[in-house]
Amino acid sequence: MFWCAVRWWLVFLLGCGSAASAREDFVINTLAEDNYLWAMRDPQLVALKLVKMQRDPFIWMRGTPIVYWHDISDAGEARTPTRFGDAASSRVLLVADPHPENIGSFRAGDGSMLIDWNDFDSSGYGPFEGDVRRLAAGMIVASHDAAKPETAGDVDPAFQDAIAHAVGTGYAAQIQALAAGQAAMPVTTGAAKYLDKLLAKARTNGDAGKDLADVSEVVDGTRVFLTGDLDPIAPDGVIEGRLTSVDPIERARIEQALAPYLAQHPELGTLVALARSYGSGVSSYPAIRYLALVSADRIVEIKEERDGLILPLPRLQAAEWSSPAARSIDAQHRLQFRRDNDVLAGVADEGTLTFRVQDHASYQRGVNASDLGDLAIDPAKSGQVVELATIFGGMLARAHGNTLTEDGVLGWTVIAPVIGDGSGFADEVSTMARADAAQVIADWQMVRGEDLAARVIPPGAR
Amino acid sequence: MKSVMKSLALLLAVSPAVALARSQPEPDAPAPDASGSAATEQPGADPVPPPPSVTPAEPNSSDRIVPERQSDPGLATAPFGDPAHHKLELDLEIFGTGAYTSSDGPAFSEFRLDRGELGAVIGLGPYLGSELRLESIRSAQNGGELGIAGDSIVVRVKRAQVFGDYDIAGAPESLSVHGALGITPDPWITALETDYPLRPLSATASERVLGWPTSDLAGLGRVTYGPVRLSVSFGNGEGLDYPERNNGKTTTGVVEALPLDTPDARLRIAAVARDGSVGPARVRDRRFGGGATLWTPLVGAGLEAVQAYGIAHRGDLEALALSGWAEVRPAKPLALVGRFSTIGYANGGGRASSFGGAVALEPWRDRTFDHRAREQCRTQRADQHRCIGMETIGYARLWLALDRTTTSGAAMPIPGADAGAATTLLLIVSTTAPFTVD
Repeated sequence: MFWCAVRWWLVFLLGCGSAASAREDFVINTLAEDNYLWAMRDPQLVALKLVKMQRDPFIWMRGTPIVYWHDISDAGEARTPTRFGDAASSRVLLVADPHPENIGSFRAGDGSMLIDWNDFDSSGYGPFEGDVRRLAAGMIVASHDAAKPETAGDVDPAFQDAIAHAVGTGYAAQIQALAAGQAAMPVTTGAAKYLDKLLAKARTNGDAGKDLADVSEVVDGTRVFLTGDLDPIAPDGVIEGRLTSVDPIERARIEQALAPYLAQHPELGTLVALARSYGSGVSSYPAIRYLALVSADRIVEIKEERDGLILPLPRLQAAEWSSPAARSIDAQHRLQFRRDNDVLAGVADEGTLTFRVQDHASYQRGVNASDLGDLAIDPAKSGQVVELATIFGGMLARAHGNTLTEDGVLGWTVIAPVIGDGSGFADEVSTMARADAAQVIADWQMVRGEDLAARVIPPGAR
Repeated sequence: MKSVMKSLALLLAVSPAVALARSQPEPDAPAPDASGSAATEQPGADPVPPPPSVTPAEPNSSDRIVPERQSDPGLATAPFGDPAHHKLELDLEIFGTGAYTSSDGPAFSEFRLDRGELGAVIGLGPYLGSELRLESIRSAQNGGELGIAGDSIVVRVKRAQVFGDYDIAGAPESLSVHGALGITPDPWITALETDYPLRPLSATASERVLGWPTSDLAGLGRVTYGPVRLSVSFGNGEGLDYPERNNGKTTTGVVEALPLDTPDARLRIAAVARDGSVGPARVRDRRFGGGATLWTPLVGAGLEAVQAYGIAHRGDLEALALSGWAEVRPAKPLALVGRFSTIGYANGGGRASSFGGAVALEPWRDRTFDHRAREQCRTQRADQHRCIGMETIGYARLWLALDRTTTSGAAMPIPGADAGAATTLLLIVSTTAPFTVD
């Protein structure tokens, strides 16, 4: 501080960064870089995202996958080396942000319902254990009373260990099963009580066409979007669910971008109405989203995509995919149990923007972290969280194991040899995931209540 | 390992071709200059092109333009790589690369444009000048998908500065001052790259392992007194990637000296201190370091050491970066080079290193600079010739190089799993093509 003051006297406006606030500075700078383009375009949305992230450690975790991957891969940071990895298993196609709220229900092409991963925004090649740790940490961070976010750090260490062990054990068992030639099974009705309820509700809502009813109405025989705040604005000012109309120029651009997609899906017919959507997601909260109503009386969601996980490993300058949306859709098709989980998943490009298109039907319903928290704090039900952790670990292993790696081989062929019989793997996952979870909670506590927008959004954009 | 052996075998297989090339007459052999210095000099480095000129100087007293530039080792007419004196100077610098990389993961090969730069300097009367320098970059990040029209190569501004120079009369030694404002060259990178001929193979350690920006939105001031120059840059500290993102500024001070400067040998030493911050969180960006470069007609060599406090977004990281290089020119047009750089992180943060070597052939070089012209330039009066700058020279080089990167401990990209180690065989064509009008 003394030298900082001296420098101010000697040279005005000199930089005075110090190691003391290094973690906070790192988090702020990383968020600033992650949100830079969005902040220059829509600073208000980025500001709302930052407010939303501060609500709860789990929501903070959802908004900071970039921080996690920097912590995993930044040179020079003291990190515990894994005992279960090598170069080949560091090139597995990852979900890259496999927290529990990125799991949800789907209705496949034949009408069967199943549970699978549902967000591939961050997908990319990397070490399989990075995903396993992230999932386990997410389960730990979610295991608190959502109404009392400050209690997130109070989760019993033994329970944390049990959850993380369950993820690691479930993962190792599924990899070993694949290595033994056993076919993976879908996670569907009967897997777990919580998931049964989720699937049942999704089917009910889907059959009832809830997605249409929630966001549109029929006026004079024509279906149109409702506009305005369909969900009330939260007390902290965050938009939760808003639809707005788009001007003719914007509509023309999106219509043009959608044309190739609609040509591939003649069953959807033509574009009838388009609305800009706000309020979804956390990390991707400021992304441009639209809902498109097509003449087949269905709604598809259009969501802007950006680069996913890119680790500093030797590779070609060129990416494997032509656009972030192409990567996201390809990863979805490869990592999900069935390629027809969402038959409407596709790509639409508009200038330098790239969008993924997906079904908006209510058959797709996500796991809710606050539900997991409710289960976790109830001694009579906390075992369900451990059970879910095992299932999700297995689901992640199936996704990794049955997908081609960057080197073009099935994931289990490179993961199984390093996991071996699985002994010790769950222990390592537990140790690392608990540390990851503690870091997430510490980061959240560190910035809680701060005006993050003032620090993250460039002065010129505010 | 098999791939590494393949790479070595290929290198050995190509060696006879190199030897054969040595025996061929030079297409356009440069004549030794008046002082007897060897004419097989190296390309300069980054910032601005290297040396010598097609038109050996008779500097016009009314045209004093002083942009940053690199020297051509051995051909330098004055202590520091500053000015050229032309009404107009254009230059192109191209590094085209074919690379085969063998890593712990898959092997891959690709052709790259590692550098494509176009610079222009226009003199504005006797004391002022302006420079615009453009560089090519890929529009998407390495391995990323979000670029322009795919991942096109696009052009961005590397330098855009207005500068001025003035010689102060009456001092016991030659005394001159230089000032610039805009996107100005970083004085430390400029100092390191002066007399550094290996830029096509690798950036300096400061740039390669510490991410030191080569230019910045800043004000730059220099004072040259005889064989000593002091440079101070005061700027954003964000380099070319971002505009200013905080209210703190970054100050870089560099002292350079030429304790030995004869036609047969030149020793250049430099020291740097930098303090500032990057990003909206004002992450510390503090550096202390030194470097030395020795040039003789037969051998060139350099060392660099920088202690860093704060790296990228990590203010708590501390590391020592070291590098060294050497070039031997046994006979025209052949050169043999070797280099290494390493960064060791404090507090058990591991180490990342790279090392390699190359054989280089210089099939063409333009005329060398006539050192006799230098004498005409020595003056302390602003209204007379002031040759504190370098002349550029055109050249082309063909490199066959091997580069190996390794990491250990927490410097691994994925500790315990993937060290990111790689061996790369490179075929590089580098050219610097200046054009001047007086």
